[in-house]
Amino acid sequence: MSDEPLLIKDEDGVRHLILNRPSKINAIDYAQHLRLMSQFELAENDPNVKVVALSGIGRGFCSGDDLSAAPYEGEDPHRHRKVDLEMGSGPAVLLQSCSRLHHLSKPTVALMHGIALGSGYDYSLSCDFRVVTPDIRYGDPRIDRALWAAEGWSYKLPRLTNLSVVSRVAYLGEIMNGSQAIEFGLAHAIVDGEPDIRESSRDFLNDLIRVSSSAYTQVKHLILRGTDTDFARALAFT
Amino acid sequence: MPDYEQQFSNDSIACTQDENVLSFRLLGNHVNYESLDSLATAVAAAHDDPNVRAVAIQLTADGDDPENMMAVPQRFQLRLPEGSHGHGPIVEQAALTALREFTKPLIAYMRDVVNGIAIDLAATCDIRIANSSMSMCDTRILQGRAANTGIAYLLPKLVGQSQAMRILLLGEKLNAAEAHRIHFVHEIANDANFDDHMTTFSNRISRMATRAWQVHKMQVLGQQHLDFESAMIHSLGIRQTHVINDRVEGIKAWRERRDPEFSGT
Repeated sequence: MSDEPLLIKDEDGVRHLILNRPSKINAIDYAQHLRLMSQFELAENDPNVKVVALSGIGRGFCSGDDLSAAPYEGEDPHRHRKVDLEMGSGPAVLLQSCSRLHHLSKPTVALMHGIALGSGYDYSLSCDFRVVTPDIRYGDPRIDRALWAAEGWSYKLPRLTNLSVVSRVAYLGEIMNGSQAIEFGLAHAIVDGEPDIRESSRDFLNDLIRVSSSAYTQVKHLILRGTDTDFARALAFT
Repeated sequence: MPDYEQQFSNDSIACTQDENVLSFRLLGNHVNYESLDSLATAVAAAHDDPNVRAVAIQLTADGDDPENMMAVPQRFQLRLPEGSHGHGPIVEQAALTALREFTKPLIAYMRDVVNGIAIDLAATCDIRIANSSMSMCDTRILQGRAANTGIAYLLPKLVGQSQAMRILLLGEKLNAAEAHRIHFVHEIANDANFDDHMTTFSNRISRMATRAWQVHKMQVLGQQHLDFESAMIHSLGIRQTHVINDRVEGIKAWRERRDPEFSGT
């Protein structure tokens, strides 16, 4: 197994972006956000990619931001977008990366097992679909640490579910298991995760591959654009 | 800081403060202008009071009392048009607006009977907890009256349009289990220990990172009618202009593997 922090694997039209920092349950540092954003761009422009699937190696999908990470010292394309003196441009890059994923014209799916928290949860909300294992621990506990969570979830979550569920997930910081994620309308399928989440999600991914790419792109665009507009304007987009 | 109990308790509503929780309990069996105005003015005062970290409202009410709503508060006198159609739900909407603008945690305890505008009050809260024998029903439609106080906006966003229509247009009565099933009620507690549960739950919420709760809520409610791009800018703007002091304690406690002790700032 490669020790690259982000594995890229193409399989039957599916571009798997696999978080690979298992010793930290795939906690995401600044460089990883940049890698992901770059990969979303590449996948968008690669005609061989029909579906983009995000998943993780090891005990879980993602434990959130890497709070113990050293400050990023590489080239920072977002250095001019500092939004917090302590956090530097971190929030801006997560917001931008999630926004890029949200607007990807191709099918996107988060395949989540074990743990999916914090920024991992943010990325999952930016996908079109979410597949979970029954024992997943899924949600946003940042409020338990009084941490900022301003990366787009507050727009997406109420539109994916309803404001009552928002109270539970965002204000109370409740962690969902697989059946709760289904009940709340956030997850679309439960798989057993064996031998790994990618393999056990194969049927779900195959269904996505079979959909007409151009029709999918058009309808996704209409859904996203139509979410915040009136009926007459929504029709005008077609 | 205000003496809430002295200032906002009256024949229609009881107000008490216990540590950082400001609690209200409707008196009698109906909601009236006096109780609504007390609620509105009290939460406005509590918004910037660091000693109030959560507000709890105990709701037991068979709706409003159209025959005896009591006097319209003086501050609304210039908003009452004359004529046979009477005045609109100005006091009701002002109270709901005040609750909606209160960004600290708001908890509704729905007890026994919660009808009509009492559902509006519950719907403005962040968390709704019911006792096991609670029932809720909006009978205004059955009386030929319009539920025009705010619930027609709030309820579809909480439970979806299908369920909202069932409640507001058919006047269906829901028991606690059904209200929980459709996600209006977040939790059901036994009748026998409901009082204890209210105290325990309110105290737990008031010890949370309530400042973080506020900035979460500001984003969610503020972005309800924004498009995606505007919402992202809104989030970054909120982040730039609001401080959460408790984040330092949050991280410190995480590193020391202990429960945090938040100040609510």
